[in-house]
Amino acid sequence: MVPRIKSIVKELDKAYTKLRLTHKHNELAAKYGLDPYQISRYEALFGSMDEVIELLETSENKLFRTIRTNTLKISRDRLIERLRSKGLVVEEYAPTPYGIIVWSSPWSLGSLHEYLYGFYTIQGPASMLAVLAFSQGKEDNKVILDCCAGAGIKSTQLGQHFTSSVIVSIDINRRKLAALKNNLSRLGIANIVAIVLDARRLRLLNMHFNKILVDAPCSGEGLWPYIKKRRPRSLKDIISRVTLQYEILSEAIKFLSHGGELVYSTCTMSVEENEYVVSKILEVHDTLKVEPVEFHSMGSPGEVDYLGLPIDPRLRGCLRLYPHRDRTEGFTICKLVKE
Amino acid sequence: MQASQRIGREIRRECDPKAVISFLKCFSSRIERILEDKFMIKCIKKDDRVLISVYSPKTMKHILEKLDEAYLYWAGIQIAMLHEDKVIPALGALSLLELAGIERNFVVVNERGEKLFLYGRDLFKNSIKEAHLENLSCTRGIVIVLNEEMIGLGWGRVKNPRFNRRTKKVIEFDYIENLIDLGWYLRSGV
Repeated sequence: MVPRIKSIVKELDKAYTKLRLTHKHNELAAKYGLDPYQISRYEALFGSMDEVIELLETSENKLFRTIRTNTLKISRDRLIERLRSKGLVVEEYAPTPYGIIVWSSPWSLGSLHEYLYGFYTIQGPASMLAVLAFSQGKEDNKVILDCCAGAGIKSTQLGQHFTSSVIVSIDINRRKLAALKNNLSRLGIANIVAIVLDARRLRLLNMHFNKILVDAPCSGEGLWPYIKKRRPRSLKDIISRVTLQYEILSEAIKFLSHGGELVYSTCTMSVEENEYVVSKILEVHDTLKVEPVEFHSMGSPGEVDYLGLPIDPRLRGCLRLYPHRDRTEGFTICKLVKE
Repeated sequence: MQASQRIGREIRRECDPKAVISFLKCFSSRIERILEDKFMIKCIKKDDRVLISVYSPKTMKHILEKLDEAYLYWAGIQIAMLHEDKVIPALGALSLLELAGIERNFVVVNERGEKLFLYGRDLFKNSIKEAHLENLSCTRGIVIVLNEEMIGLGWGRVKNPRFNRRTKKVIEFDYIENLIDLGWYLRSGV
């Protein structure tokens, strides 16, 4: 283990000694299928057990169910019109130029003909915001990297958002890239290159990028409202995610061009996996600036006071979205600019 | 066969975008222009198959040239596969042809026909509203299946066509076999 990773593990181990388990933590963990320490960590984050319970009680049907219009094929207004004519109750998702909230649908959203035509793709309300955190200027011939592309939901969003740029989407998993390939064909998006590579070995590409999206693999604690995706995560699991995230982000930063932007996002509200990881990067890169992420007064500011971990106060500029407060999946977005 | 000829043939088998362009021209006269103006063509080998894709912007070419082929998984939209010198069209070619404008060798199906076709079923005459089968020999019997809004639903093959001897137009056929339809995106499970 490299010394820097060792010190991160040590810091987290020390911070976790402050967590205390009570009968209440065990009871809630058993009720919601989680690890007792997860309850304890979120109590430390919110400072109140009532809010933890509110978060845990938030179920999938309380969140916005959203889709993203493929504006390369149809306008949002036209798609809304079509979906309404089929009996769906829908409206614009205001923070985005192409999101639609689906209040109710007689059919599964993945089986409508409009989905097959490539008119839309299913994407969470918070997940859609990560790409929008990039500056929205004219984007001719830029090269954008999506570090952990998976099935390419955000990659295809980058593809439709920055049409004259090239999107390089990498993932270590070929099966996920096969899904990305199908998504490109269905959505008619031609500006994406998919590469099989571990994001920690970016140097093998020998390229620099104007924009980088690091949608890092995480504990997935933001997906608690979706019962099928609820998993117990031990403290050891969180530490292993943090070290992986640090390694990926640290590699990505090296290949960000000067003046370039990096958006770091995860589908978890865990401070360790967000502000703390980014803070560790800021400690060693003094050319990085934190840019505030804001959307229509949605969400809460970044957390910099948590279990005594050393976190750069500039990271208040990150955006946190909570299921019980914002009706989105739990999500965190931070933006860095290289000077 | 001389070595140079053999090598030439192997290269052609590996990547022959011209065959794909000729095939697509059977459906739209503007396809070449669209490809020239907006896209680049790339051949990608997957196991024993050669897949053809289109990508844009053209600046992506520099990235692909720079990139070690070993890492490349995919680029752009798949429009076809080459198998034993034959072009097998892919679903992605539909958006390209829609962009160019589909002029011939297509059928338009009614709502019921659309539903059945998207479930992977063949098309019978009572589902077909219009058939424009001008030059089937060019496409080896392959046609584009469109819905009433002229949205591409997939590819079919005209079974047992009977031709007018003078005009070479199809005057009768049995049914249209479903080769691939958009429902594949759901059924494939990928």
